[in-house]
Amino acid sequence: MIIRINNIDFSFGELNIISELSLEVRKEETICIIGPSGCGKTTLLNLISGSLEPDSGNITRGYKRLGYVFQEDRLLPWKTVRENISIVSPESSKEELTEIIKLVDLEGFEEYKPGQLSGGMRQRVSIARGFYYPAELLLMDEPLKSLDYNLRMSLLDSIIRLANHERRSLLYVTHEIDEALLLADRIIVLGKQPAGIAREFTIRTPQTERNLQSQDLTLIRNLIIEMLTRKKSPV
Amino acid sequence: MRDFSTAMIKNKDRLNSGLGNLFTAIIIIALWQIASLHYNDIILPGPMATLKSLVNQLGDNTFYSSLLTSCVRLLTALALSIGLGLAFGLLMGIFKPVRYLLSPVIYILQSVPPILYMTLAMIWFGLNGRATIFIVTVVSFPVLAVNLCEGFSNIDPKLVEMGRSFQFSRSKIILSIIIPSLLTYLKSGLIIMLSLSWKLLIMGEVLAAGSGIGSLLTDARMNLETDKVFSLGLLIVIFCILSQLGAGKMVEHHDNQN
Repeated sequence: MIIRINNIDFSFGELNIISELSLEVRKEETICIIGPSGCGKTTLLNLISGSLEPDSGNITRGYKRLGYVFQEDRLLPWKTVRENISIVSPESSKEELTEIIKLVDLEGFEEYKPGQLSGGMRQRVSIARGFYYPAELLLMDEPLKSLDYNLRMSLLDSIIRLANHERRSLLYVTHEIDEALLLADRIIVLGKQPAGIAREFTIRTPQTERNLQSQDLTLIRNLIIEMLTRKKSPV
Repeated sequence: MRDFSTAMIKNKDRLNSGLGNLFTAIIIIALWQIASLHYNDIILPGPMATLKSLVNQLGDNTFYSSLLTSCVRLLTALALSIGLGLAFGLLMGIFKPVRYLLSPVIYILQSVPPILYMTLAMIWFGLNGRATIFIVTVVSFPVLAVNLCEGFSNIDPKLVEMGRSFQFSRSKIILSIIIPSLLTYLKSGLIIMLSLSWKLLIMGEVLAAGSGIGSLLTDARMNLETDKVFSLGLLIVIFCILSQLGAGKMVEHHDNQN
């Protein structure tokens, strides 16, 4: 067990954001959390990382270190691609750094500064940095949000390669169903506010063999769309 | 630093701007030459007379000893104002209450006309180099302080949060995030300070010193050697530009090391 969330509630003043939510992340498991915009996904991540405390319920943590990939790239503009990645874990090996850079297709750009790269490339650096940091759990908060569809799919490939390069638990928040279908072992669908788990899907097909047009993924997609567009909170 | 796909465009830009500068210079010199034909040498010496005087200056030992005196004053004043500017800027940047207490002082210091400081300095220190050092310091250190303070308020909190998320130590956050963020502001502060310092230094020396480049100007004025005034002016501009470029390079070098 990497983290166990037990029946937590959280409110900002009068506004109840999360209610009676329980979730367990197992070792090396990839979980995608999906829900309508503004349903409290980022709040949930903040509760998990410990920067917010739940009003009731508890969270048990079984990890030592936590890695992050943010919505924005948050790269240091004065450092090169290589330095931006290596800075989070100076003790890791050079070979590992080279390997990570290869996995996000940034070979040849090691000495570039962020200002010389496109938005998609900068986000690749940010993703590489998240995976380079030795942590048992990696939190990813809509890391592909600002990118167009083709770029998102290509970066998702990189993420899958990185995830399989060195297994760890991943908690990936998104509002894009296709990203979740391609990446997750388990998809958690949050209901509208206050957010609780509306439904859970387990996908057993290995990531590399998945096809968005396949029957089971289409079925899951339709179910999720139906839940997200339903008027009343299904919790 | 430069993007490789735009390097060629930038080189072309540089060439064009170089040609533009050359063209402007030729026009100005031509107009100057034409104007100087209409006036005598005491009112407006021509480019050739100025050049001749410039060569004379460069061959004269008095010029070099004056330059040395001025440079010592400039460096003393700069050391004082960098020290004060860093101290004020850092204190104001790090501690909010200090910022609220000191920013009115800094703004008042900045809005007082330099000539007023000069008048006071002449009363306090008399007609020697100390008055000059005083005005250069008191006028230029607030520039650095304000710039640094500005730098602090422009540190990206998201980058600091990133550092915290990846468990950077306090000193690592300061060294790899805070200081590099401040460097651009430090650099622009230093460059503004330097050009300001040269101008104030010369003014101070013209008004209240018996030595230095400024006093050479005073002598030239009294002897009606207008060509000397022109050539000294030209030299001062050159020193000012060179020292600004030097300061820019120095901070940039430091920037690359980080």
